[in-house]
Parts: sequence; C-alpha cells; structure tokens
Amino acid sequence: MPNIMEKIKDSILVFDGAMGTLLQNQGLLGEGCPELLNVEEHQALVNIHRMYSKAGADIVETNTFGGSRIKLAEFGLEERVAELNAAAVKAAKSGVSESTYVALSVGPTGKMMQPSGPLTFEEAYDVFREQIAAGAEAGADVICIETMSDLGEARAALLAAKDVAPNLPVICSMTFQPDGRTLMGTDPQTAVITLQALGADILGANCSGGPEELLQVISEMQQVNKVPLLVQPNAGLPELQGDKTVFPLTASEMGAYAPKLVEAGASLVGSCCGSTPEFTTAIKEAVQNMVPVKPGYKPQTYITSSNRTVAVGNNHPVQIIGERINPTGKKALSEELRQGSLARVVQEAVQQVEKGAAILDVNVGLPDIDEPAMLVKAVNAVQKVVSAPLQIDSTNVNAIEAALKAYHGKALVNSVNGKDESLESVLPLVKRYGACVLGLCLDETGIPKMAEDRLKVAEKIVARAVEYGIPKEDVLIDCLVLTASAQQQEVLETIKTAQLVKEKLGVPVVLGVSNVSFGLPNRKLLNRTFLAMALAAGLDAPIINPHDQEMVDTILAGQVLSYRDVDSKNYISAYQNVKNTPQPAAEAPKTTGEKLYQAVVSGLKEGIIPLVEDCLAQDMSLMTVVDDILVPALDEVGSKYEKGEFFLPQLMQSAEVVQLAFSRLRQELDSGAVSKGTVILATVKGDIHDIGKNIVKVLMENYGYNVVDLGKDVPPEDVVQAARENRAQLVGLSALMTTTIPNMKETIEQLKEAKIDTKVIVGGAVLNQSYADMINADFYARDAREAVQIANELMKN
Amino acid sequence: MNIDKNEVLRYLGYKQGKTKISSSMLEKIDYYISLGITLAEPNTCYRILNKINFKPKGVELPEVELVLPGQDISNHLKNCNKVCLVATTIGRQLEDKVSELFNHEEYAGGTILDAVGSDAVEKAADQLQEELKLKAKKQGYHLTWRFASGYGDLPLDINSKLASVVSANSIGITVTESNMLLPQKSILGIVGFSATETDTPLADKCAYCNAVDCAYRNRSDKCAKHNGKD
Repeated sequence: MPNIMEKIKDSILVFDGAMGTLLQNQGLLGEGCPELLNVEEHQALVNIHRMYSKAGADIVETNTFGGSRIKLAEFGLEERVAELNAAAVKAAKSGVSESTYVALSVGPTGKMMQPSGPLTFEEAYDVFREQIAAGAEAGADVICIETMSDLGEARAALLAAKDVAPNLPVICSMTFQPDGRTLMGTDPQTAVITLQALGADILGANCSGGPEELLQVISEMQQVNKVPLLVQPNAGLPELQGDKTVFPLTASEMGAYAPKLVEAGASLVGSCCGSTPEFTTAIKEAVQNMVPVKPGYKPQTYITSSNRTVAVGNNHPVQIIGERINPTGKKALSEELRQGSLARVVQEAVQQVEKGAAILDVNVGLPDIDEPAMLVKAVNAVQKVVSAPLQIDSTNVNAIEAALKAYHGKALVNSVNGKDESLESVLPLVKRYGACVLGLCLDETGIPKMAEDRLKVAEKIVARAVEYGIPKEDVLIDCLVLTASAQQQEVLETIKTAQLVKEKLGVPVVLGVSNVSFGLPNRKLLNRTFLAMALAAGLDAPIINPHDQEMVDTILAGQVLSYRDVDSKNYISAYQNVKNTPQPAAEAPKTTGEKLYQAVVSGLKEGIIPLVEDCLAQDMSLMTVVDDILVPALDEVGSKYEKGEFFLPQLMQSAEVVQLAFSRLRQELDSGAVSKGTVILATVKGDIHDIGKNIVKVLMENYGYNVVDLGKDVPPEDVVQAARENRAQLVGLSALMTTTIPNMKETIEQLKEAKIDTKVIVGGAVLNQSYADMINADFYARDAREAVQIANELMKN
Repeated sequence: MNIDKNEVLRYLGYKQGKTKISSSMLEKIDYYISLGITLAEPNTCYRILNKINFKPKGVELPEVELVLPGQDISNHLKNCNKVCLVATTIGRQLEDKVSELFNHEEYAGGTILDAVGSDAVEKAADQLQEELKLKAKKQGYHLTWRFASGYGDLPLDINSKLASVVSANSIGITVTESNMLLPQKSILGIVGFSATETDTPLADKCAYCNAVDCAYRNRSDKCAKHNGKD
C-alpha cells in the first residue's frame, strides 16, 4: 500500500462516515462506554468498517474517539486503554479491503486545558501518547486527531503523535461553531498556521455543522495551508423529532456538496454525525475524478495566539511588540514575581494591548526565581486574558521549552544569536514547538560594528534555522540598537543593517528602539526620532513601551509615509476625532483640616499621617480631629454612597484612610482608650460568608466603636458569652442564606434568655425588615452604612 | 478567561451615570481584576441524566434517585428530555486572598477582589454552558439557562445530593451542613436539554433569586446572587 501522503498528491481521498449513528441504529449504543464495544461487539464493528470500505471509503476511522485514559475513566475503564484501542484497530483492519487505510480516531479528553481549566500540557500529552502508542502498535496507518476545540489540546495531541508514532502521518481536525470559530475561539487560519508549523501532515475541519457551514471554513483554511485539507461535515444541522435526534441531509445532497468542498480546497472528504455508508458512496462518486486544489500558502511571517494571527513584514502594518512585561528595572513587578504573584503581569498585558501592542514580550527573568515554572505561569496568565500573540523572552532554554509547551499558539521566541551554542540549543525547540524565532545580530565576537558584518550573522542564523527545518519566514532579525551616548558612531549602522536584512534576506526586522537613548536627557525625543528613521529603513516590529503615546503616534504617521497604511485608513481613524481638553484641576483645599477631610473623601492614603500630625501640632484636640474632621468626612462619603455617587470600593478606600489616621491618633491616647461603645459582630453558626460582616466591622471601627469580631460560623453560646463579658451595647449578626437564619433566631433567643442588656442588629443578603421582625431582632440594616447609622442613633441615647 | 469589568462594577454597586470614580480607582479595579484572573483556578464537571419524570412534587431523576422538589424547577425543565447537573468552582486561592487583604486593612482591594471572584466563577460556569450548548445542539436540543437551588422554591438542602450526583468533590467542592458550598466561589446548577427554544437567562435568574438585598447593595436592580455565591 503506497504512503497516503503520496497518494493524496494527485487524487482526492474519501473518508468514511459516522460510527455512532450506525451503532445507534443497531441498538448498540446505550449508556455504556462506546469503546467497550470494540471488545464486546467486535464483529459488529468489523461489519461497520466493511460497509464503509465497500461503500468506497479510502480511509476508515476506528471506534476510539473516547479512547483516552481520561474519557475511559468516566466508565471506570482507564486501565484498558491499550486493549480497547488495539481491538478497535484490529476490527477496522479485518473489516476493510487491503487498499483501505485505517486511521486511529483520537478525540478530545473532555477536560479543559490550562489556563481555562486544570489540565496541563504534560498531562494531556501523556494521555494522548498512551492512546496513540496503543493504536500505532496495533497497526493504524494514520493518526486522526479530530473534533478538537482547544488549540492547546490539539498541540499536545499532535506532539504526542509525532513523538510516539514518528512514521505515521498525523491528521489534525478541529470543529467549528456557526460563528466560524471553535468553541475556544480559534479561527480556521490560526488553526492551520499553528498546527502546520507543529508538523501536522493533514489539517481539517469536522463535525461542526453541515457541508454548507464547513465550506466557508475550508475556503479560509485554503488561504494559508501548506498541507492537504480534510473535511467531514455532519449530515446537516440536527433536529429533534419526538425525543429522537435526526440529521436532515440526505446522502445525495451530501454528494452534491462534495465537489464544492474539493474546489474550496479539501483533498480528503468524508462525513460525520448522522451519515451512513450511502453518504460515502455519494461522496466517492462525486469526487473520484477530481484533482486536489494546490495549497494556498505563500511565505509570510505569522505569529499566533489561540485565537489571533498577526502577520509581520512585507506590506503588513508595523506591529508593536509590547516590552512592559519584564522585571528589569521595575521594582514593584520584581517584588510581585518573587512572591509568585502575576497580577501586574496580567494588568500590563491588558493595558499594552489596549494601547496598541500587537505582540507581547513576556520576560520574568530574575536571578532568584524558578524561571521555567514562573514563565509557564506568566504565559498562562497572559494568554488567559489577551488575544495578542506572545514573544517568549528568556535566556534560559528550559524556561523557553516549558513556555512553548504551555503556549497555545505559534510563539515568537526571543531569542537566538549567531553563536553556535545558542543556535544549537534554541533552534531545535523552535522547530519542535512550531514557533518563530528572533535572531540577534551578534556572535562569539560580540556585536559587529559594521552593518555588513551584522548581516553576515543574520545570514548565518537564517541558514542554520533552515537546516533545522524552520522556514526562512519564521525567522525575524533584531539588528540591535546601540546607545547613542556610548556608541554614537554606530547608531546608523543599525539602520543600515535593517536595510540590508530587508534587501538581502527579506525577513522581518525587529528593533528594541528605546536602547538608543540610554544615558541622555529627553530620552523620548531620541526614541521617537530614531523610530522614525528605522521605520523609513523598513522596521517591521519595534519593541517599545506602548504607553508612550508619542511612539505609537510616530508609528501611525510612519506607516502613512512608508505606504504601509494604504489610503491612511488607520491614521485617519486614529486621529480624526482626537481633541484633548486639559482636565480642570480640582480646587485645592486650604487648611490642614480641610486637606485631611478631603483626603478621606478622596480615599488618598498617601501623606495622611503627616496631615494628622499637622492637625495635632496646630493644637487640635483628638476629639476635634475625630469629631470635626474624620467623622464628617466619613459622613460625606457615606452620603455619596447612599446616593450612588460612590460605590463600595470608594467607601472602603476612605475607610482605609480613616483607619490609618486612627492608628496615628491612638499613639496619643492613654492605654484606656476612649471608645464610643462596644459592638460584638458575628456571622452566625453554619454561615461561612463573612464579607458583609467584615465591611460592617471596618465602618464601625472607623466611627470609633470598639468592635469584638467573633468571625464566622459562630455558635449562639459564644455570642452570648462575648456580649456578657464585653458588656456590649450592640450585637451585630449576619447571615447570607435562608438556611442559616434559624441560627440567627436561636442566637437572638439565647441573648434574650440570658437577659443580656444589649440590642441586636441583623443583616445579610436574604434578610429584610419583616424577616428581622420575625426573629425578634431589634434592628435590620440593609448595609454597613445603615448599620453604623443605627449604632450612632442608639449610642446617642 | 475574560472578567467583565462592567459586571464587577455592578456587583460593587456602581451606577452608570451616577457613580464617579477616579482614574486611580479604575486602575485599582484593573489591578484586582488582573489579580483575580491569576488566582482563579477554574474547574468544572457535569453529569447528564437521560431520564426525567415530572411528578406533582417536582422533577424526578430516576437514574440517580433524586427528586428536585418544587414548581419552579418543574417549569424550568418543562420541555426537557434530559437534565444536566453542573458544578463549577474557581478554587480557594482567590477567597483566601480576600481574607488576607481584609486582614491587612486593604478593604477596597478585598471587596473588589471578592466581586471579581463572583464574576470569575460565573464566567467559568458560562464556559461550560457553551460546551454543553454544543453538545445539546448536536442532538437537536436547546440548552436552558442555569437553574440553582435557592432560586424560587427549589430548596438549598438539595445541594449535598446534587454535589454527590455530579461528583463535585472531584473538583474540590464540598457542601457544608448548612448547605453552603466551599470554596465559596462555586456553583451547582441544573440545566435542561429542551426540545423547544428556551428563555434568555439573566433577567429571569434575578427574578427567581431569593436574595433580595445582596452584599453589594445593588438596590436599583436585584442582585444576581444564588447558591453559595456572594
């Protein structure tokens, strides 16, 4: 039997149709595991494969869609992966003719991959590896990874297949929704670009909808494919008749569609849910004399995320690479990374994209950090929130590999250079994980001074990449920007290198622009001037800080002047409405007291302690500060909150300021601090939601109450005891759920029985005044603000 | 995962056209949304039940010997041939951080992060919903919106049974004696595979919700709170 890849070059091959539909029609598909039938109903499967083979299928798929460990575990069959997959291949082999290929069907695990779910790349890879090893061992001719929605999962399966069955062609087929994207948001071109870089032999679309829906998907794929395309539509969109699912398309209708699918670019055509051997025959008859359309790929640098493709170079727009996710010189970010937090990384990612970054550099390199682990976390965090493709930036090869595994798209690796050691360690990873790579024009001798010598380094990098099987267009060159303060003479050599690289190599040019201005005043001016010069020389992707609006402006202008923004469309849309009116400065408060008041209202913590001290130095008494400044300020905040002018975080922010002011004031007090009264707070027994209670506590403390916080899930007896011991004037109880209100009632009863002289105030999501009355509470407060008002009213008397 | 900033603001009592926030507060919200995204560990599981009997007292699921009592769940599932029980959580990390923030007197941050967690678990559940929608569609069904205990007359005390049927413990969800979910940012839901078009979710969900006055005091419109999620 000739290799399928040879056969496919000049003929259209026909895939079989649905397995589940036939099993169902025969009453074999119940509640149990479909793959178990490979053993228990072996002959029925042999017969189905025979029917498809006789109907004209050149390739049949095994009954192993759910044959992974994870899927089989749903039926307690996780230890039978090898057996069930082998039996399936055997059934197919014995059913089909000698010239029919058997493809091992590999479906998704059903578990979400990181960052959307818990499954890691390694886990997914191992699970697929196990299944594919079993199928290949049993004699499958082709591996067919199918019905994938998650590009990350498809990557894991594809890599596993390439590793464990290196001699078998691998098909990778995704399933698309009516909006033309997969459930996880991948568009057809991004799927093709990413997966063919990773080494898929055939790509495709299956299931999804009927042939009409898939026609569009295949047409889009055909624009960028290097490898043959497979299409397997369902028999139309399913309809429910009674409690039966019916697929409306007939075999001859499917047959009529098949030539259109071939013309759109498919060279393997089959059918999916709802189809039968009749469909296979109809397709076979319709396409057997057709010839494949040529793949539509034209060399072009593409970098992808799981749901976006960015084209770099040629006449595509200049693509900004955001440089902000890098701890170098950023104290707060470094500190966070050391503590294992990625909040700032995520925030930078979102903001840079908002400012116009097309690609994001991700660097978490710190001397005292587990960089591989951290880079994986950072890549996952960033790809969770933005669609911009990533440039993985590390000098640590292990970190690069770990990140390339976790990343769902076709990344840009930053970087390799002309040193043999660098080329030999980085390029194999770039090839294996289907990435692009940024080559730096430096080698063992350092950064060559002259442009011609830098070009030689660039040529070496490109040549070596090609030797490793990386297409030339997947290499980008960084011509290296030197600082004008130290190497002024060589600044122009960078510009010249850019021109030479574009002219001689034709690969995209990248520059870290802001290096140019180190050590000189007014850096921004130098940066944007250099940027303009570099754009004229053909710079394709500047690495910049996208928050620097002038740089972004320069790029937009530069694209107009270099004919990369045809008809100035982007430029016009960016600037036609821009009119910046300066924001009127808020009226500055005059006296120290007013400043303190204003700081509380605005929630400004900074400088609050000196303000308090200034007040005290002006001979204000403690009570004056509290009663005439802090409390009125809080009242204003509270009243704004009531009116909806402020929302909860503002109330809390002001509370933080007052808390801080109090911490200073307390130092002036004798140990027997004056308190406005004692309040016990508790979330009642059985209830664990205490955020509302915590908010009440903060405000009560703000107003000078001594708060005894008993926490959450507090038994009634504890409340009674605390109220007695602390002689509390007020007890505040909270409950979130209807189910814990009885415990609130019980607590109130015990307080009354114990004859504790205290008032009870209740609150919580499901409470209201009538509930409060029903359980004999003295007061009901809708929110923290109201609770404090009630307390203030009560203490007055 | 995309956290919906407007939704977070809504949870926090922000009122369009009324509430004025400074750019530093917006920055703070962005920061805590980012932090929330890094702390959320979304995980879901579900179980589809193929038999459903409508009884006067509620909906019976004979495969797992479970009765979902009440009129509202019966209405919710009225045209359904199958029921899917779903569980979603974002794990403990985020809520632990909220406590930590409160302990460190970062009240604004704690409140914002808590709201981010509420939206995060909602989004994680919505993601599963999309997956199930596709599954339903393949069989010709429409998916209903997500019903939960605490809506209408469906009592909270079915939570432990729901959790056990769907093996919620496999993703780390436990149910307390008082029927609350741990981690707090978790959801147990009930969706139906309906033979007919179904209603749109959110408006109805709030109308069904028993929590008339949520912790974030959204007085103008009722809050979207439900079982175990604040």
